[in-house]
Amino acid sequence: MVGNVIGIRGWAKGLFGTSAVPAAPTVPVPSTVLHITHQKAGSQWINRIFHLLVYDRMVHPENEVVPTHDLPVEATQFLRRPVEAGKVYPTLYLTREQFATARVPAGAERFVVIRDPRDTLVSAYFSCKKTHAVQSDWLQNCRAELNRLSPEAGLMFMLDHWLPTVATFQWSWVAAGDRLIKYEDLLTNDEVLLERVLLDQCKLGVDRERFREVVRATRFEAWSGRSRGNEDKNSHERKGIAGDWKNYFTERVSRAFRSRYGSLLVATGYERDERW
Amino acid sequence: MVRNLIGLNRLLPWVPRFKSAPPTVFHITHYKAGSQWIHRLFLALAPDRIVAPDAFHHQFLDQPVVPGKVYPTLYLTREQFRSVALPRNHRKFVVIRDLRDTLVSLYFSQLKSHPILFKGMEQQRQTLAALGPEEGLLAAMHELVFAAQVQWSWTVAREPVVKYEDLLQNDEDILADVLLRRCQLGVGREVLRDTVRANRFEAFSGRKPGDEDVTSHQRKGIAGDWRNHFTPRVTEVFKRRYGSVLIATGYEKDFKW
Repeated sequence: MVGNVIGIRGWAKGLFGTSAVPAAPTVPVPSTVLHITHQKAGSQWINRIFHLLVYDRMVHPENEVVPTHDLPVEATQFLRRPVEAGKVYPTLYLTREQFATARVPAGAERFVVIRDPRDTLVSAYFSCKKTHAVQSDWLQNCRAELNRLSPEAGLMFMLDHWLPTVATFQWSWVAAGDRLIKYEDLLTNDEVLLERVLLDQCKLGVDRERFREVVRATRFEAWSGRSRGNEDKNSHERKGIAGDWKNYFTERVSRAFRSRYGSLLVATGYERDERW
Repeated sequence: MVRNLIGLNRLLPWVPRFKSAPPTVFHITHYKAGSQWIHRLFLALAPDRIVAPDAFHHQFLDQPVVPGKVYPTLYLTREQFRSVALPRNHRKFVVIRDLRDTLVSLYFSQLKSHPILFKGMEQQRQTLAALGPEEGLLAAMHELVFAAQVQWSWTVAREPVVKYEDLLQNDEDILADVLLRRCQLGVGREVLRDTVRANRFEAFSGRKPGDEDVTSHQRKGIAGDWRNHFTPRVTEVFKRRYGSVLIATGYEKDFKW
């Protein structure tokens, strides 16, 4: 563009012939960034960071309510349409096998965030019972059921009806051998880890100082106006801590959880064995 | 053999003949993947070495593993298996089955044929009986979580697995490789062959594979029966929950089934 403005290209063409004219500088296409995670693993937090930093590049999450009264099909913006090079796709709730069904632009960078499935379960329990916007028959029925059941029975219900897709997600990415970013680590070291992932690995292409400001501005405390651990069961930002499952798991829930997902906790490194 | 050739056995009859201790054998699987079939083979081939299965695997998880014994029907993930001190000389093999057939088999087993071992099973039978087949399969799908976990855990570790479907097609060769070559069960190939034939579905149930008896633990003896029972709704829900493990285990290439 600069060459054209001051006429250098025309001058050089006349002087040296066409072949000597340097090609117009190409603007490098930013990398495609794919944020893969499961529900209740800080996905909206990362989504907010993208909103503040690269809003124009975002392809916003979409889902599709299905007639089977099951959970909605997630990430249809990624699965049902061509993936756009240079865009940022937040909150892709997809297993590796689902992810592999889409054609991804060359050079795309992905990062996978997981959370302790016990905390995920507790977070989902409160979200489905109280705070998440009702967008499907499934959630409407689920909310009615959770409000009818005791907390223990409600957690058991979610264990059977909601958590299997999260467990499948985690197993599939463990099997893929991807480096998994733990939500718990992000809670304690967000600036360093997110900078490494989003700026160094994914080459988001934003100023580092601006990036840090945004990370600080979107933290639980700043966003919710409460300190971490200070609970508001009616807020999507309920508590903002790791390990809260210990406050809600009864012996029955722990036993049921271990028998279904105990090995997953070991495989993901959240536990060393099933004696927790 | 060398001792025989040079006549050492006659010269030194009091020297005990060297015989290495057999390896400890672990048959790892999940429910409804032919575990009772393999168990019967062990009962016929190595009855003295079997450590009787326990519904909660106390014989393996809570008691010291006995070297040289055979542990059939261990419904365990890799993480559970590795949580126990194992004899140095051990062999294991892992058998899995298409989770869709596992579901159908589990459904009929819970509905009709499995002996009631504890209170929860009776309750589950009543629940399934009150539901239609479609709702029943959806309800039984919750019980599939553990089998899926077993499959994921061994798949993640890239451990070789034996597929039940392959056993149905080629039991003699596969079992000879697994039980004789790998596990060194210490029986002859002909003995194994006769035992395998005597314990096939046809021989044991008195029916041809595909002839169904829903009240029998040996219900149908075929692979792919899920196609006769999956409705579009069951298929859709199954794909969402377990479609990925079908791909990871090689039962499907994608979600278009």
